[in-house]
Amino acid sequence: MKRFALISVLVAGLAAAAASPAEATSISFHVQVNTSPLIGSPLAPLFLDFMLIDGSGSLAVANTVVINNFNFGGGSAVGSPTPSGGAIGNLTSSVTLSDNANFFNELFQQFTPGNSLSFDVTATTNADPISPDAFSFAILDKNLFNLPTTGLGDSLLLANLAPSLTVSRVQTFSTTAPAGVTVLASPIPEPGTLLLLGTGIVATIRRVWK
Amino acid sequence: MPVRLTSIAGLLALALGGSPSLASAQQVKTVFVIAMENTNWAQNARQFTGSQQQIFQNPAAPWLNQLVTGNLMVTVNGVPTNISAQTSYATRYHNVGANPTGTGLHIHPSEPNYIWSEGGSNFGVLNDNTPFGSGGTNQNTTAHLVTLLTNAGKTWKSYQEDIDLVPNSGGINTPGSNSLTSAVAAQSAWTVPLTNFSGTSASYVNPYNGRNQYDYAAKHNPMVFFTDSNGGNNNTNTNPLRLQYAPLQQLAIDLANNTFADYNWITPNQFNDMHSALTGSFTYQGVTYLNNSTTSGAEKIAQGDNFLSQIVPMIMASPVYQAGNAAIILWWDESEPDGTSNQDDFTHMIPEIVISPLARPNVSGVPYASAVDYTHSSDLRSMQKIFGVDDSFLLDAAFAPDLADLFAPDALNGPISITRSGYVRDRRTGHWYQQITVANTGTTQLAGSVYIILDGLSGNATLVNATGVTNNPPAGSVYVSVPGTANGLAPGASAAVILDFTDPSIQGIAYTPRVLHGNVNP
Repeated sequence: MKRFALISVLVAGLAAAAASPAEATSISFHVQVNTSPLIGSPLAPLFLDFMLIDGSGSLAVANTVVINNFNFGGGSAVGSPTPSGGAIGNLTSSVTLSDNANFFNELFQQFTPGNSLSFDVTATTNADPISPDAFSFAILDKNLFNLPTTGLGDSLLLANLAPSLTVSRVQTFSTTAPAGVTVLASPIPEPGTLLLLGTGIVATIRRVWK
Repeated sequence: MPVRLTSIAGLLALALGGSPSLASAQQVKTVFVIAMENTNWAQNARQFTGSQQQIFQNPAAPWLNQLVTGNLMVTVNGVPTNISAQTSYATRYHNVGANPTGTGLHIHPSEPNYIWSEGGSNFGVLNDNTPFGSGGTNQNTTAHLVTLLTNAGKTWKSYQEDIDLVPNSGGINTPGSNSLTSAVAAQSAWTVPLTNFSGTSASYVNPYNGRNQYDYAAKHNPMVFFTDSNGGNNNTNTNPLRLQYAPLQQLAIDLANNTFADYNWITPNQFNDMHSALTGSFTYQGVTYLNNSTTSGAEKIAQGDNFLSQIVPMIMASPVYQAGNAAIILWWDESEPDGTSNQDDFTHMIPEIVISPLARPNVSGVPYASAVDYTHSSDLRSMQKIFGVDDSFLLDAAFAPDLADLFAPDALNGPISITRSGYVRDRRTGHWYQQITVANTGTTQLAGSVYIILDGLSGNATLVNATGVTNNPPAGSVYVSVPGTANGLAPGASAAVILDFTDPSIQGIAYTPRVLHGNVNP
């Protein structure tokens, strides 16, 4: 009973810590993409494409998305970016999209695929009262056409920005031609939370086993 | 031990997870209609003189005019509240059957308009007779609003001022001459008020105007004209439907106890509803309005303005209103002549005012004024939508625009939630895509097919995969059929469709979504 109570307290604390980001006005998540099916693809050169589109069309509520910590898993960023609207940055440092002045905000840049691709996303989650602002990610082929996917508008990832957005509500998709490019979105734990999590679990397990 | 670790993992998953869908907009769930009488919002002549004056800008209606043009502050639950911020109103609400030149139908006097509010037709009635007796106007059809509500598990109630009061002589709702008192009868004695009664009694003091005159008219009680909502020609306390009708005093009790209905119809007596001028004069906000040929019109308006200024804040103070999903609709029955053109042309406007947290937001700090051409069929259509009894619209309600222009987006969609994703652009097609999901949030099956209409789609965008363009009002909007809904939507079920737009100018895409379903051809 005592052991169960200890576990319950620990879990309740972790749950509270994990739940709090959903109530904040921003969200952060890590994106992992399996790009191995694209190595040597005849569709190359390939491009990463990030979009932020205003939901209402009125620009009444603005959001900002920052994409950084790119890791090309053996591949690399190539050349210079093509931004439009409220987009700045590049794939070697970070990309920032903002819809405070434009309906359509986009940045794409060539890359050489490795076995994997990863990056972090931090987005504000201000609620557009009509329909949500949307952040999406796609891969373009040599014609600057989206690779076909199972997702809305051939996207690989779609985040409808709203205060209720959690990482589990970020939608991820996969390519259909070529098949096999898959995407995973996962939380980015705060360093302090990670430390607490590790310490707590170790301590609890030790108490339970005594 | 593995069991314990699994439990921890499960709880963590619960803490990190959540519903996969976005929240949809709020919708109206409870309606209070306050039925007023015989006064134009705007007319061609004699606007502020005589026995038939208009309300808009009339000094005798300070509360209503400040409501729609300014910042009307009232104290609600001890808190100063700006009612105007929760108000929208119509400027082109016409008598049913009216047309621009006044050559259409002429649906008068009062009673056929009340019947129309229930059934979408006057069913040939063009008089103020009671439902039973000589020239009785009782209708046997079951195709009217409150029966649809009952069949769908929704509730309704008709609050009528001056009914179910104890008389010094006669019976409940059949009082002897000038015998009414202010005492509310025990509920066990309530009856269905099938007949008219009026008079003056020292034992009766009206709580709103302080006078001794009372006047209940069955012609202003729409549900009492249908067999399945009046319980038949039975004005005793054995009528099984008698508790559908309640004295107005019961409204405050029901608001406090959450025992009101989903659809609540409120009829003041004929002095408080602007129908009749009180004998002699009426003093309101320091101004005395005489009952004579030049000011009786103002007196009637002042009496009604006084009534509304008291009952609306009372409803607003209730928990159900404060919860955010209730709407108060101030409704008037018919247009009136002003000595110029025909009263059933488009220059004679009937008032229609919405007070609700879900009213269309103010524009530039004043209540939104809708220029949509409305009639009672618009209210009826809206009630059918709000309460999810819109598998097919009742007679003329099929041809009228609903009141959506007076409300926030999605507020009238009833037990149907509409959830929109954001937009994604596909560089392969150059098109813009949005997923729209329709869910049945009610407890009964929604008939199929389901259609999503995009009213007011911005001109820069074209819906490539439109199924068609609406004839159903408002006509001219593009719509799509929602796949998989031919057999309807079960409670809790949802269906989605992807909207495919072109937008060559790359400007914002905007529209107001509307749902039609069932035996409705968009």
